[in-house]
Amino acid sequence: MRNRVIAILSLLVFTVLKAGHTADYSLNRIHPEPVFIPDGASLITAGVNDARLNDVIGLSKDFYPIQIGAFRVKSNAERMYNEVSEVLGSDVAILEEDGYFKVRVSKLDLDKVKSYIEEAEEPSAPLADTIKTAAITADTVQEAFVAVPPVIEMPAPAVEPIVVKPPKFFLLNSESPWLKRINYFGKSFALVNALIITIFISFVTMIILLMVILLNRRRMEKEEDLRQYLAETYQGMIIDYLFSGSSPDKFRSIASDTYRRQALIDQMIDVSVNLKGDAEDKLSGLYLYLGLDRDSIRRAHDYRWHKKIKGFRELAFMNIKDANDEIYEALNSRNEILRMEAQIALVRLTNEDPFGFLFQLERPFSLWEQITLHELIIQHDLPVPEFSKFLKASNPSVVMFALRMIREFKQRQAEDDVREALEHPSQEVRKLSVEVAGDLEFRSTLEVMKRMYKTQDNHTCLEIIRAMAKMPDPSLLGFLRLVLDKEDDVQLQIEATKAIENNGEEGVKTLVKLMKSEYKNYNIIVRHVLDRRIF
Amino acid sequence: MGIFFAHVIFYLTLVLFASYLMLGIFSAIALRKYLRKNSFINYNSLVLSPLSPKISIIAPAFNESKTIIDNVRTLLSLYYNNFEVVIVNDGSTDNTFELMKDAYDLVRVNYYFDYRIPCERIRGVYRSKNPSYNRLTIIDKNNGGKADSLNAGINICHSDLFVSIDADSIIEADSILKLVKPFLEQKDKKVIGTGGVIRIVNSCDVERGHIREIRVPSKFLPRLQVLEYTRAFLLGRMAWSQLDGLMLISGAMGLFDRETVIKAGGYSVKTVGEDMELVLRMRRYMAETETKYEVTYIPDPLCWTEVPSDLKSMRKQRTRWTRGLIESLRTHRKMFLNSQYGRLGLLGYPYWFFFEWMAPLIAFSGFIYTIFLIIRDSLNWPFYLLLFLFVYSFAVSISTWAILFEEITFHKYKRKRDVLRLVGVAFLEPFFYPVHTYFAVRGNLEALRGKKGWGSAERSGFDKKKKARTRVIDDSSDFNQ
Repeated sequence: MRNRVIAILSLLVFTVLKAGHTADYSLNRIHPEPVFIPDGASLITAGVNDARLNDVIGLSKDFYPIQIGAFRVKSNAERMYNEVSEVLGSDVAILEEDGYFKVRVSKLDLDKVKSYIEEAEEPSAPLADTIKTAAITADTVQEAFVAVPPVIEMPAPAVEPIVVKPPKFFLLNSESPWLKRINYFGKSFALVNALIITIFISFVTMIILLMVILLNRRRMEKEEDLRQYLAETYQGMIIDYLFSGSSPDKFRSIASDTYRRQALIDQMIDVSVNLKGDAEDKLSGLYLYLGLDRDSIRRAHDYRWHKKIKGFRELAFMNIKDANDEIYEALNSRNEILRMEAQIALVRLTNEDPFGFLFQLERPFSLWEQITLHELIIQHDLPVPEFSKFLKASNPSVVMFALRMIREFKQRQAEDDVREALEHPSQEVRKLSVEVAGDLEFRSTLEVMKRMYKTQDNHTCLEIIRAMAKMPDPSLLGFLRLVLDKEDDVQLQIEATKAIENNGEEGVKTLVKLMKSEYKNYNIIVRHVLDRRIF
Repeated sequence: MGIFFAHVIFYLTLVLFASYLMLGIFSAIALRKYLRKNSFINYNSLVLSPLSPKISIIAPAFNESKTIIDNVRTLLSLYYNNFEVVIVNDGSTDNTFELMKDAYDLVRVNYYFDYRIPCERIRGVYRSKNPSYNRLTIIDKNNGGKADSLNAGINICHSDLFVSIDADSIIEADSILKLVKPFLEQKDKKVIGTGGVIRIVNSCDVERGHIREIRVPSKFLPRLQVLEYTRAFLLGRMAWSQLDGLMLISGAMGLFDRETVIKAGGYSVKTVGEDMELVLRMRRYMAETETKYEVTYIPDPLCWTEVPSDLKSMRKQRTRWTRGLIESLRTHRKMFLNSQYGRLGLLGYPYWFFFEWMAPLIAFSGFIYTIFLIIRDSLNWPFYLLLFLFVYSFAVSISTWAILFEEITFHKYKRKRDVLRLVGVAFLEPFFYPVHTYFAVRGNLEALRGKKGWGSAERSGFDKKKKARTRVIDDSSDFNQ
């Protein structure tokens, strides 16, 4: 009996290997009970020899059909039947017995079986191993490859399952009831386990994030309360010290705690904004007395830009010049916020020529930086320099800043320099120069503008005409009329008409003539210009 | 074939999730950088500065009679010193124009202008007799749609920069300050457009065009969209901006360089996705003229808009978004994997192509295939469950990240209950995904059939008092937020 089983299992091995798959024989419909092998049968543990084979073949030819599977669902039995018959080419049959659909083989051909077994018994894959592998692969097949005697009932001892230990890092292994049923992407352990790990990580992340969200809320609320409390307390203490002459020693305990020290510095900065003269000096004295300047200088030298900025600000407000070199270095930093803070700090910390740093700017001096610097001058009532000197700067954005400042501070003495700037290589500078010249009514620039009109881009031309409108001059009427006639751009036409109209009586006369003109329909333009609600 | 299809869906999901992770990381970096820099910025300097550039705010209005007066008032009270407001009445069939005319004492002016960008006939330009409203200009024109109205506004306005907004949105008072800042930071690249975060106003307390109290919507659908918007704006666009692959500045609010828009041809009236199409066209124009440029994005909440609160309106909105997306991608297909357009061509466009356009279609066919397997009784249920858990847990996790980003950045929802509600929605949202895919499929079918136009949607007003009533208005404000 044992020999028969050996051969049958050999056949099974080949059948399974040749069929190449065991996929959906069962899913969740396989025979759920233990596999039984009739008396004397056992698993293959060694090779197969001719004698044993003859035995099996003989059996199959005589009385014993060999049962290779039993299924509850007929379609599964049929699938196995198809695959087995395709491989073995022998008589394979399905019969229904005891509630199962059984697949059985009979009349095997010896030579064929031999060749199957040779194929299965390659050196690299000894038969026993192959069987094991097959058994794993065939996990869904009822492993009841037995020769079934037609009449004899035999007791059925349970068969030990074939065990293959998976790598330890997997959460699921081949024995997992999950994997028994899963057959996706070649039943990859790695995939299934990767999915499980990802699910686990995602859920854990989710829980952690939720906790962070809720705790962060509480932390923020607490921090806000503390900040508010410290701000009020310290502000009161500082004002007491400045105006009631209380002792500076009570600040000592505060200065020993890092968090509170920073809160104190912030309050000192806030208070210093509104101070002048003695009170300002007294506050700076307290700052030095408590050694807070060391904190600020250390911060100014920090490698992190946001720390640097805090340091620059503190030093600027307390008028401490010890880190000026570091501030100068930051002037051409790639970080625009750091650059801007360095500029502000230098304006406050430099007594002579506070805007001298403008000549050192290599990077574009953005409009945002210009706005901030302008606001600083206004807010802190800083001495306004002669901005015309910066019209010579090599950085066009600095020239533009100077032009804007000339306009804002109405530095009419800069007329000659502005006129020169009209011929600046940068188109943007030229356009702004025209704008400034118009706003400040630098009449000496009119001739230059008229001359340069033809060579400028549309935007500059528009500004030239606008400037001419701001500086009405009857000698320009001919030029303006020419613009009106020749230009197709609507905006240019409107601005030229406005410029003509601004020339008082003569301008009105010209407009009246224009309205009668047959060359172009000027009526609509003139009506637009004369409508005072449009500006 | 079935297995191959399953593989496609599976690997697409993996790539999509990987891209979400990457976008999340980039977004976190960009947000941190932005917030840190912003903590040193004093926007007040800009408010009163005479150096601030002039900005035109263009708001198309179509049948907005219920909110137009409040909304114009909100626009006129924006926190900026150098701006004009241009309201374009797009041939409203209700009394939107008459209401404005009465409320703001409007008179027709003899306005001469050039149709630099083609648009429908402008019937008249109106200005107020009251000097208090001298920033206001109203354009009355024939109906031509949102894009056409914006083009009319661009033709009329004079400033170098313009903001396009929806007249029925609520604008944050300091939004212009925030939007204009990137234009003032002179770099070696020209900034051609800036967008920001759009928030959802449903259930918030709104009074006279201003938000008094911010709340998470009480209804499920708007709440779901809060989460969706938070994810899209704080995770997605922030990251794409960092990667220089931003393809969309929301039509609800964006600031643009006027000259570039005109040179690129203005808003397209042939698509319902004119906001995305404009950004693509501007970027294409800049790349083709070899001009260095930048499209920037700021994570600050700038504008609040009402979103659909019922499925029917939502379907209309989403199918329109899909159509707009398809039209934009089709028009600019030349950019697909084209290195001439930089990271936009190599990353941004393919991302939108595969994950915004194709992914819902593939997902939908996946649902069909699953149903087929269930009917055939051949679905591998355990593995299916495993995959579902994988997708579900990842999706919820990403949404939780988005909520965290909102919490640690702008912290707009002050009540703990609101945050917990959002978290609750994060757990339910994945079950709504099939509905989204259905809308996407419908959008594709409509695009195939060549459907055009915006349609209309049922909406409730902002104001508490008006909430009881339902009105029918154009829902153009929501495109691709």
